[in-house]
Amino acid sequence: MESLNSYIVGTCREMCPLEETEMREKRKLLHVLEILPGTETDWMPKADRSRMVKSFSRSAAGKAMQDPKNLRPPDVLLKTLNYLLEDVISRKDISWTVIYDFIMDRLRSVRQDLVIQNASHAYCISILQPIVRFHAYASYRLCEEDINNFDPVINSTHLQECLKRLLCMYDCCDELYETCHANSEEMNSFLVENRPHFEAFRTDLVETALELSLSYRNNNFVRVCRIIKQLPTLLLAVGALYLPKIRRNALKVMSVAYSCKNLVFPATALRSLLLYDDEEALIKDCKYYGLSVQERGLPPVHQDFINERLNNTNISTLILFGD
Amino acid sequence: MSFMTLAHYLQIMDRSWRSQDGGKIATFISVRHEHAKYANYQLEMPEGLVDKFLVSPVDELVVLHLKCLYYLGKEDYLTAYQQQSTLVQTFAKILQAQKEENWSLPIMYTICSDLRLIAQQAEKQKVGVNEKPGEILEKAAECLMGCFRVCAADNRSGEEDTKRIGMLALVNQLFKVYFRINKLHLCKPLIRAIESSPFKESFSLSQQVTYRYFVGRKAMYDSNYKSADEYLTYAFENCHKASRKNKRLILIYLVPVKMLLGYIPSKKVLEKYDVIQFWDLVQAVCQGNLKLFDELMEMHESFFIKCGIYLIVDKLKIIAYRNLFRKVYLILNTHQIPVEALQCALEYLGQDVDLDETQCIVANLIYEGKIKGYISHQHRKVVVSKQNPFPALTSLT
Repeated sequence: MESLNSYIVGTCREMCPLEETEMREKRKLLHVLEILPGTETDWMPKADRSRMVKSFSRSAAGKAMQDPKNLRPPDVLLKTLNYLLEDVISRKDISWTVIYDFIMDRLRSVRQDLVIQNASHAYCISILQPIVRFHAYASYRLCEEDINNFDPVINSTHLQECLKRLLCMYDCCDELYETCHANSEEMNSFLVENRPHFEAFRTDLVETALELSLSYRNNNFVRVCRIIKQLPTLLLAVGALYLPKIRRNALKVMSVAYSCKNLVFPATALRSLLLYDDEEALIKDCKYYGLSVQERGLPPVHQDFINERLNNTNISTLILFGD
Repeated sequence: MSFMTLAHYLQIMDRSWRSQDGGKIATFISVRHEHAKYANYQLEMPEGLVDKFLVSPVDELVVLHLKCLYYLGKEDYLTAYQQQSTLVQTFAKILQAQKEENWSLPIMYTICSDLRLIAQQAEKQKVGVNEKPGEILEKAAECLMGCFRVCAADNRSGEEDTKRIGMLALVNQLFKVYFRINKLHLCKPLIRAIESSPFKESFSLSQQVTYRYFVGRKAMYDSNYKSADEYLTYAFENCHKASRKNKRLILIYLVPVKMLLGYIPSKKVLEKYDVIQFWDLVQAVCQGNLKLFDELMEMHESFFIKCGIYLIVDKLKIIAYRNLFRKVYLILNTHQIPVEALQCALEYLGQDVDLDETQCIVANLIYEGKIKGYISHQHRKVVVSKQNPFPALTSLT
């Protein structure tokens, strides 16, 4: 109770505390992205001080989490965030799953430092927003990945956790930071996607997301698909993850409602209704489900029309600053 | 002005403890009892005085109670909460040590609901930065769980003096907390514990009503409308007729659930319990008047959200669609209804839908069995069954 209102302020000016750098170097715990170029094949690779980032570790008994020299103050955290989401994320020479694992772990430790120091709302918001976008982007980019390389459930848990915190922040300070509103709508609509949150700010995008969510609940697949198509890029990508479920429900309902011996439903109409890239994909799905729709759904896949939009966007800018 | 002297109060406590009068102690240890308001009971350091009159273990309880009153008097709810929380924990230990007796359960009921009420106050008072909403209530729930474990683990005593009879009161308190902090998933193990309890039927009626009210609401959120109807109906029928406020609360959930199952509430009942907001909604749904429906949703939005029924009321729109389409069918008097006609009706009522979406709405109704028939996409027609194309909603399972 004594320290109810006093929080530690970190003094570490680097992205990674010296202590950890030395420890991880000695124990050969360096990540590929942290090794000094040229020493990768050495028996004892060297740490590249400028690229070392503090890794996440759970708080445990007997571990000093509160040593100021191992904590990074908010401005350093912001710098770390920018390094991860600008430099690391755009590396083309390393597989994206490796990049994802690295960034996810290091962002988690950024969040941890943020909490221990009880950083101000302004800092929390400006750090959490890009993190949310990062997880959202990753959920789409890696949706076709094998479960061993990417776990969508864990990713979504992190996403939800950050969102929840962010929403609490907005609630506390919506008068103070009028400027945040522009970004917050997008954040809110993420949440609305899953579960309508009505205290959210009533803006056009939130309104749209709300409508989407309600239509989804009532299985109005025509409207759902129509709205998804009009979402901004990042939300579109997240929305696409729901497509297999939407299509399954749509096919299930339609197979009952349109069932008549002499009648057929044109594939072209169905294709555009349910946002399939081509008829082949549609036929594949229909075959998968057979005449009776199976309970287990298909995993999400990449959609050409979304990839096209993503390819024309700078990912760093998208994640750091939003659509 | 003062209530009775503190010395007198302490003597009563002493006598009641010795004679194992749980009910009396419960009354006098409640922060909602009259004595709580008087300054001579609000003591920061009551230890010295209390020790003169009371022996262990009841002295500890009274000390904590008087301290709690002190902070309540100062309107420092967080510290008051901490005192009350220690009080409940101390009591849990005493309760555990009492073998083969359960006379002190009334004390537990009182201090536990006091704990929840103070936690709610503390939660309101909290304004700090970075604080998580619901944190104090969550802690209070942990504290209540402590008592619950003591009660649930008492499987050696006979039926007459088992502490397991105290479980339901605690479960109800926990429900109140979990519903407030939106942690409904935590209710499941509690429900299982009660449903499998051999004393299921012996709990007091008032506790059973509360229990069924919450379980019914949970079933509603899980889209389990049939069982929601069962639980809420029991609660409504057995709730004491003088508890109008509670009856009203139950109705707020029972009405939309019933409507979804095809039953229409009478205006008289809605008036009687002051939930007349629903009457226009009933009209809109019965007439298939989607325009009115949308207006009502907007008008009563905050009421629906506050009660947590926005989503289920929104589901009634499906019933409104069905009723509207039935009207179109009756007007056209044909088994082959053009989709255009349905779309026209929807558009007339302010719905922004095209042919595809109209078909989608019909498709869902057919899938759910609310319309018997099929859609022909080529001819853009809904072909409905010659026999009973719009079966009564109550006949659907």
